[in-house]
Amino acid sequence: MDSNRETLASKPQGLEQDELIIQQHREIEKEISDSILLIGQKEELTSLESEYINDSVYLTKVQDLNKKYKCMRRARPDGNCFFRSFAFAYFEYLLDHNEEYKHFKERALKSKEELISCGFTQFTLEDFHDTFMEVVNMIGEGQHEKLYDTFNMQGYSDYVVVYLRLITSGQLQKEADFYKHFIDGDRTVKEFCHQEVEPMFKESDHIHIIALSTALNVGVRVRYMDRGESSEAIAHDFPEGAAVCVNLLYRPGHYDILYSG
Amino acid sequence: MQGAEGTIYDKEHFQLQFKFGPSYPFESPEVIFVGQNIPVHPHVYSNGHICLSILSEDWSPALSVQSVCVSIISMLSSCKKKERPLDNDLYVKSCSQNPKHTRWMYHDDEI
Repeated sequence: MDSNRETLASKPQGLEQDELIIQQHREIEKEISDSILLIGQKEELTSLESEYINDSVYLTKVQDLNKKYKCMRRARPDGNCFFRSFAFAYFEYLLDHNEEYKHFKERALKSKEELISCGFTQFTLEDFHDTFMEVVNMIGEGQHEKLYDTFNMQGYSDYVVVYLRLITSGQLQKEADFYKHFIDGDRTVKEFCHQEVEPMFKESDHIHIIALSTALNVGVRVRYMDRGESSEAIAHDFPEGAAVCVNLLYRPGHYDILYSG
Repeated sequence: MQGAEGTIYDKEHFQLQFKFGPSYPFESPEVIFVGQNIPVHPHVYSNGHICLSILSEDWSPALSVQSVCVSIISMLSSCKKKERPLDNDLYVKSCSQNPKHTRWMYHDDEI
């Protein structure tokens, strides 16, 4: 199957309903974007406790998190939360780690050619790469506040998300022989990338996290808050064994940032 | 746009209209066939609306006008029989002018 055959088929159903449903989706999205910042200010973990006051399983886990982490930042739940949280947390880490920053900057510069050779259209890619580099260069100025403001400007913030999605897609395609075993449904790695990685607002799963953390060689620890028996939110490190510099909290369907210090 | 050589649309000319909204490139452009010759194809309605996943939920900001055109040519080229969608009449009578107001269902990846 060639790469351009995203062509699937047709049949609109219940057209009057369609418009209403789409309108309702837009309203919900607007309500979320009006009330939740792309990246929020740091807050105490006790703010999570109040969300689960009547839920003993989650409450126990939040209390355990509270012992292990100092605070958190919320990311807007728009399907891009993993990529946005990852980017902000890592860039913030780089503000205080100059050597690693230099390596990352070189890595980021080189990524453009790698992605073009992977088959992405040069002139659309360039646009995202340039804005991504603008934000990366900003880290060199060492201003926390400026980085925070930038991540809350949709123009910059979404360009960073797009670029990380492309890096993730590039990594999956480069190592397709490995990743193909983890893709559900009858589709190729390339199709999976077109449908679940490159489009905005598509949620991230383990496979996205493994690919991105491997591509950039950045250790990510995710604390999973779920209905499981354990009294703590279990930690998974990506790639396995890497030194952790980004801490994320996962709750079903959503990622936020955690801070241990 | 010209139908690809060796396909059932060979030598036919088609015209596409692209509209770019304020959220482009994060959201897809609105793309429809316009003009006298609307291709007869199971995923193209007679009002020019196209059922193609990259024009709605599988849109990626990294796609370009050119890649959209290539996908549409590819969609036409893999078709063996000129037919309108089964629900063409009903859809055309009752749909919005903007195809992005339709929730498209994608269930056939053969064509």
